[in-house]
Amino acid sequence: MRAERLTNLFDAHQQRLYRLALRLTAEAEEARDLVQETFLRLASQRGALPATDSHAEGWLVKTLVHLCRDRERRLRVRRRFQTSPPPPTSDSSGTPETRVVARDAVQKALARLSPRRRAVIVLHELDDRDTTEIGRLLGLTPVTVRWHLHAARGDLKKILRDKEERDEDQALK
Amino acid sequence: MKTKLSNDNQKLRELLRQGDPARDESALDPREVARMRRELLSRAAERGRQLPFGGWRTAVVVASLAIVVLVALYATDVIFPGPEHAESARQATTGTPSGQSSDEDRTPEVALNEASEPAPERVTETPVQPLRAETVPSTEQVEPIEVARNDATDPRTGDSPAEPPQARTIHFTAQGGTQIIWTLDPELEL
Repeated sequence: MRAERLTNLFDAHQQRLYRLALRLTAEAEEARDLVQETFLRLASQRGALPATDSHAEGWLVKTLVHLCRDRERRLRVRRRFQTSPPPPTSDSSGTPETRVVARDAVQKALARLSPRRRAVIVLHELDDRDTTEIGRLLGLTPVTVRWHLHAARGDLKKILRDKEERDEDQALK
Repeated sequence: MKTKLSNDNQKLRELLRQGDPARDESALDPREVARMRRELLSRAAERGRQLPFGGWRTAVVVASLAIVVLVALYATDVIFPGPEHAESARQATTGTPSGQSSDEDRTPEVALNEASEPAPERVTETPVQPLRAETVPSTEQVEPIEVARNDATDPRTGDSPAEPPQARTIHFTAQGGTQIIWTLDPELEL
C-alpha cells in the first residue's frame, strides 16, 4: 500500500521536481541526485505519507529546497578549504550575444540568490505559479512570497546590470 | 546580453526564460527514472522491515510509562480510594476506629455531634466530656448553669408552634471561673 502510494507520487511529481531542481542547481547530475534524495526522504519518513497530492507536492518542494540549501552549504565549506580558489569563469568576454552566454549569465545570477529566494523566482517566472501557490509549496504566506519575489527581481537586475557593464567595458577595450 | 537591461520585470522574465536550464533538458532519462523507482521501492521495503521492531519498542515504552503513572496514582490515593483507605483516613482524623468510641479519646467535634443528637433535656443533665482533661474540667468539676431554650410556648394559644429547630447553647463554668459556652448547631447532620 505504502509502496504503491510512493510510486504513484514519484510518477506524478518526478518530472516537475527535476525541472525545479535543474533550475535551482543548473546541473543535471546534481538535479537528479536532489530528486532522488527527496523521494528517498519521503520513503524513509516516519508516519503516514501526505494524504493528498497537493500536500505531497508541497512536502516534496520544501524538502527539495532544503536539500538544495544543504548542498550549497557543503559546497561553500568545501570551497573555503580548497588550496586554490576556483578559476574565474571568463565565459563570454568579447563573444557575441548568444543564448549560451545569456543562459550562463542567468544561471550565475540565480546562483547568487538564496535557495528559497531562487525557488520563489523560478517558480514564479519560469514555472508560472502565482504567489498563493508558491506560498503553499514553500510553506510561506503570499505576502512573504511577494516580498521574496520583489527582492529577487531587484537582486537579479543588479547582478545582470553589473555584468552587462563589465562586458561592455571589456568590449570597449 | 549587450542590450541595456531595464527595470521592466517583463524583460527580466524573458531573460530568465532565455537562460532557463530546463529549457533543453526538462525530463529525466527513462532508464534513470526506472533506477530511481527501484531505489525508492527498496527503501520503502527496508523501512517496512524496520517498522515492527520500532512499533514494538514504542509500545513497550508507552506501556511502561502507563504502569508507572497508575502505580504512582494508586500510591497517592488519587484513584481507587478503597474502604480501607477511607477507614484509615477517618482514623487519622478522629483518632478512633469506626464502631468504637472512647470517652477519653473523643475530640470536641465528635462530642459536639453526639450531644446534638439526643433530646434537649439531656444536654442540661449530662454534659459532654471534652477530649482533653487538662484544658476542660471533668464532669464532676463542671456544673451546668444555664441552657438557653428557644422552644417557647405561645402564651395566647398554649400551643407550641412548629418552628424550625433553634440553636442551643450550653454554659459551663470551670474551677478557675472560666466560662465555656457551646453552641449546638441544629442543622448539623452526621
